[in-house]
Amino acid sequence: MSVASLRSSPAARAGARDAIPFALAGLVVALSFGISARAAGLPALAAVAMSLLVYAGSAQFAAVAILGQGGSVIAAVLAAVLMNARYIAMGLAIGPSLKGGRVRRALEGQAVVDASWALANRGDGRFDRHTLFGSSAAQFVTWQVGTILGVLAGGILPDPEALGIDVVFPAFFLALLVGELRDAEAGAVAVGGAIVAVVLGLLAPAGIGILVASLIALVGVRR
Amino acid sequence: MSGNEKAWLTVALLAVTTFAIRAFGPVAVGGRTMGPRTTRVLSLLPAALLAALVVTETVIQDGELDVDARLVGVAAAGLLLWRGASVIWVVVGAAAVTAGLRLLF
Repeated sequence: MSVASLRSSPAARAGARDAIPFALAGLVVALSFGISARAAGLPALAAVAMSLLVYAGSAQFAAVAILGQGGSVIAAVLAAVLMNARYIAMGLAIGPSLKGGRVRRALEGQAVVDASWALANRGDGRFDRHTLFGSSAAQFVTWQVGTILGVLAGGILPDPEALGIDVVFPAFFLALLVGELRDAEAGAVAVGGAIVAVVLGLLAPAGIGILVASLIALVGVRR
Repeated sequence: MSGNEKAWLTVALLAVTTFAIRAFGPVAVGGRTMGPRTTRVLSLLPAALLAALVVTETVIQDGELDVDARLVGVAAAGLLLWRGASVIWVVVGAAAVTAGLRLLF
């Protein structure tokens, strides 16, 4: 599918439009990432390259935090992989709604980020792939711009936490969560996932709790 | 290995692993359609995952429970969402409340 045909797709345009608030919020999140990366001692160019090539907020934050604490490359990558493990679950969910052979599916799957995936979710188990592409494209642009601005600001700001930069990320995810609470069962699953994540967050390495929390969704098997 | 080399090696490994992880799901399921139970499980996944991310990023710091201005900031975000605010104001409001608390205490 060409960029031109995507541009003329109403769903892709609607996806991009619906994603504008998330893309703007993503700009603030990326800004906070760029600042954190500089505070952790990452070269400015490496932080920008990471946003460009990885484009996965929680994994980027996790890796940079570990490098900043003097951790090894292995530890940083492992933490990022665990953070990203939810994309396996999300990819399995969206897989049937994507098109083409293995290579094309692999490439289309790269458009999955939390907000684009949630916006493309129609709630009946199917996903609108044009909405996915449109909203992901809008967020990709602001993710890069925000990172560059954050890297530049990071060299100037004395104490980023004084600006509340560290709540930008959870506040953003809370907004996504609220959109998912369609019924009482989804609410119960959210509460269960939160409890599991906190308990395991205290007992297991970062990222494991989030992955195990996803198993709470198995209550859906009862239907 | 210097700090710069570590940073660039991390970037390269993250790029490769993230690509593979994002590709895995769509390639593994192919074009098969899911049964109603699987569909229900998959539609509940985001609620579990997003709730897990929100709470760990709000009250856990370096593997320990840490209740501070972050919790109040995220609670403010919840209030703004409940009042129907746009996500950009939710994010900015949460940061402002957290920053204000840190300024005061």
